[in-house]
Amino acid sequence: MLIRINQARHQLTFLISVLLAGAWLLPVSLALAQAPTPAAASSPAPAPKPITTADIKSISGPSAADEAKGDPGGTITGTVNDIPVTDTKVGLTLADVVNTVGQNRIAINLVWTLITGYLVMFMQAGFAAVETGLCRAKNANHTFMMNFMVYGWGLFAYWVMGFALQQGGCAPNTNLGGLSPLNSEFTINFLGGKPWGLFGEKGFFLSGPAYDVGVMVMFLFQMVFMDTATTIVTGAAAERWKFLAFSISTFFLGAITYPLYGNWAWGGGWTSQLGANYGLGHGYCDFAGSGVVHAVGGMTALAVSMIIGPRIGKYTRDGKANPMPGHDITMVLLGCFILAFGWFGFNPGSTLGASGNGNLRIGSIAVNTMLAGCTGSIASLLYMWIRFGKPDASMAGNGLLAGLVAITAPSGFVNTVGAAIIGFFAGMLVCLSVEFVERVLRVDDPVGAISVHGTCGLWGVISVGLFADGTSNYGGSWNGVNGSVTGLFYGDPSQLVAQLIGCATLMGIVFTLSYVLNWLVDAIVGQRVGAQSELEGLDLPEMGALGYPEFQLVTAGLGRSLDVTAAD
Amino acid sequence: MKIVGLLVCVLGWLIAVMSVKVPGVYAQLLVAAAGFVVAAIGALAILNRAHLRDAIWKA
Repeated sequence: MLIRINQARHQLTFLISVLLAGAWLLPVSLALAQAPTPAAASSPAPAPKPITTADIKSISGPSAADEAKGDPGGTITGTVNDIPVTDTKVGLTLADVVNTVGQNRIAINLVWTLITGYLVMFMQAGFAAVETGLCRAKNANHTFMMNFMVYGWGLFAYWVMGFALQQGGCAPNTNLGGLSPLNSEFTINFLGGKPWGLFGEKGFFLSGPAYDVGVMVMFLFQMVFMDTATTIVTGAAAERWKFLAFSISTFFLGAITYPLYGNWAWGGGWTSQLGANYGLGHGYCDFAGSGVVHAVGGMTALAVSMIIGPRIGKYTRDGKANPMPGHDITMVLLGCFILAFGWFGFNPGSTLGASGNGNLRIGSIAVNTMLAGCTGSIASLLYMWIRFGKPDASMAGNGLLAGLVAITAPSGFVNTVGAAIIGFFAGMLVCLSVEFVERVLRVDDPVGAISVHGTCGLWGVISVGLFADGTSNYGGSWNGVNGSVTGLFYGDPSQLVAQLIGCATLMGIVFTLSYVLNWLVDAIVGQRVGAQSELEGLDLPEMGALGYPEFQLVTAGLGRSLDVTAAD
Repeated sequence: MKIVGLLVCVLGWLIAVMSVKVPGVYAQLLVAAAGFVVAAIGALAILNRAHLRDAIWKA
């Protein structure tokens, strides 16, 4: 009996070994079968004959009579007849053709950048919906209006001076036609006599040489990114922020704080030159703004929330946090979807073009973006489900956003595996951070903006230094350093050093500057509304109209909005 | 204490920036990370604690 059992065991082991060997051999043999046979050596190709204007003139397009018949198949539309001719007396020349090729490339890039910029602008609606849904109904008008007016205040501030400070010295940019008017950067020599760019000096009011077709597109695209940063703060300070203080604070953020860090990262400033000046990878790399947009917004949100203090009733006398649920979770999740849609403009659009310079990577960037958002929401959902027994909708939404925020910086430099990991980690991180901010720091953040954008923005910056895989090629260099951006896991630890310096700058300089500016606003006009207004809800005292005038809004134990039925 | 917190934030940034002068990339990593942590301590521990001293929920 024992001998038979051993024989059966040996036979089973042998069978499993055969199956495993076959499982390994089969794909290897298939791969070898598909491997192309090496080409036979051939004679060298003849030298190409240069094209001349005579060759161009011999090309003929469809006749007027043929065109008049219509073109349902599109076979005679878009021909040599459509190339603009500089001198009709001379006719079509090689220069005309070459110039048209160049203009078409720039036109593709301008249209790409504009369309993706429009998508990012639409994210304002997403942010408004998320924040209003996560706040109480008595503050709906006020919360939505803050998100509405960041567009106005932010755009104005950026047009006046923000864009110039940020991008005034960013030329050249080959994707958008050069941007040559933006050619002046204020620079000091520091740390070893290296040039440190601090802010731009051209482009105020988009006037003078800045009145340029490429500059206009750059302005629109950069402006909608700035607007994303400013809107982040409104969520953290919601339900107790004076509308006047919000307006002034937003102007400062759009005019000063955001443009400064934006210049250092994207405008040719000192953090982007850490590679060229000190050999730290390719300098601080932030493809679409985990740091520049989201962490700047998050740091400012943290500063304002500290200054403004928590909502009345958020904490008990012994510092225990009370839940204050939002009034419309469906609005929150719809807002998250709008944001996810807009992010297809945020990240892929940051190539600033779809033609040349490695810009065909836009599909890869879009997929990375989707994946990170997906794994972020899964991670948050699982965390809440396992920890608290229910799949929490608001944290699933925040997890999606956390993944999207985190992938924003590395989206152009990583592969899909890296993107999935980055997003998953962000989804876990945002849950931990929300608890830490609320229960340990005791900083009240009604929508989780500090955690989603601040914490996960910093994680996104760091993840470039870890997961950048060295395969991207945006014109052979990045930030003036030849080669592809490569992180620690792919062989370049110095990139992570540059990213950590960027994080320290966000925490040490951006947070401090935001704190000082908002402390000034608090000293001059006061940041926080009075207790009575806060308990009543900000809609009437601050905005003069209820968001839901047909409902009497009551918060148990904490106050009610105006009883409109009593007046009828 | 609030001003001390802000100064510690800036000090953390300076420490991180000084990492460019440190020999060896892994030593640079440590110094840059330390700078970030110091800046975070300035904001989250020192400055925030100063705010919590007169928090509204203690009134």
